[in-house]
Amino acid sequence: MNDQALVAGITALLGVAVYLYIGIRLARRTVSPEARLPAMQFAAFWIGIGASSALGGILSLIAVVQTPPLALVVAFLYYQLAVICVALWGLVSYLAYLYTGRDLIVPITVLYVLEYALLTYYVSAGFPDRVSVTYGSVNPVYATTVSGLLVAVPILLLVFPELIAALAYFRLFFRTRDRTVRYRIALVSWGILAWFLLDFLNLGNDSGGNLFWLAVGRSLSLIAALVVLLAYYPPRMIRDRYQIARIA
Amino acid sequence: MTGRPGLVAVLAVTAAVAENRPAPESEARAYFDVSPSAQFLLDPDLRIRAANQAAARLFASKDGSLVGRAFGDLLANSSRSSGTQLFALLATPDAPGHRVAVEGVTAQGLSFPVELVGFRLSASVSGGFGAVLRDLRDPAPTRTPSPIVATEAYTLAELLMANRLRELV
Repeated sequence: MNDQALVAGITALLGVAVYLYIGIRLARRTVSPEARLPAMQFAAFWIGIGASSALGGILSLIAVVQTPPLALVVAFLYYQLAVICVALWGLVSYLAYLYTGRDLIVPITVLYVLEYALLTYYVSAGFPDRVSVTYGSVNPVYATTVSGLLVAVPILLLVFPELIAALAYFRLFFRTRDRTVRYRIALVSWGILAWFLLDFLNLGNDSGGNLFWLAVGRSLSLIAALVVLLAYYPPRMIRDRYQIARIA
Repeated sequence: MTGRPGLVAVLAVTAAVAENRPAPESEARAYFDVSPSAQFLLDPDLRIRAANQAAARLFASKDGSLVGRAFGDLLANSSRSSGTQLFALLATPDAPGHRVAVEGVTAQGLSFPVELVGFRLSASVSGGFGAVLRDLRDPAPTRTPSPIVATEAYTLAELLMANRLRELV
């Protein structure tokens, strides 16, 4: 039995529950007709993050008992890329609406369809030929190292919009005096930023295989998700003391 | 607001106003910001809620923002009562706007002659006031579309954004 994969799988699935809960609650919010689409796009971001984490968690749980077959790992990678593109499309579209009041769905959709096409090309061109399970994370190993603009562009498009979007979200803090709005913006933007940075740094890989530190490294992402949950469901003490409302 | 939005933004807002339709928010903000007159949005208690770049150039200290300051602080002591009276007159429903010549005080403490135009913002937009301070030392003031329109447009843009944040954050 692979204990590291068990830790990675369980922490990933705990995060999934938080992301899906946030996404579903945001999707059910009552908003005006013109805000319906951006509200759903923001919900799609959280549900997409949850779906991506679920796919990774499922692969890790399979790896507890056996190395998942290559076809399954590659198929899951394509699914993950799709849901991440949808999630980022949702986040960027939502922020564009908040900032401009305009629905920029066409250019942003074109951007992320192109992004998905480039990412899938990158995976195919690398000829994945086996599977590695490292500290509980399951990934394909590529026979060919692909380099050049066709790789750099989609990877930059995958990493930077998230960071820029989180910082852009935080800038909204200074555009309002509403306590509840400020509280949510602060927690959600830094929660998103922390989650992406932790995902990018993958601190579990620095654990050297130590189960405790692996669990700590993986749990940091879960804490970032819980911070976002607190943004929408502040404890009673915070609600009473600072007159901050929970999500309707 | 940063940058220097050009003629296109001003024309777009002017055209929108002429056609009696709302201007796009970003253009409305640009229109307010690019105005050569110092323009302000004031709370009902005459605290500054927003100020454009011309106002910041004229009145803001290097490290300070104008937002939150009392509008009266921008006027010389001898002119404050005239300024207060002007806004008091705006409380009556049939007085949409007034103007008066007063003395302004720069960030460096120098006083200079200005024309203060005060107006009540539309009830649908805000309960506060708009104010314009035109530097009378300027021998040939630039002809621009109404600063009242610019301030109303900016206020509306701010209000729309505040509503979006309340609804969607």
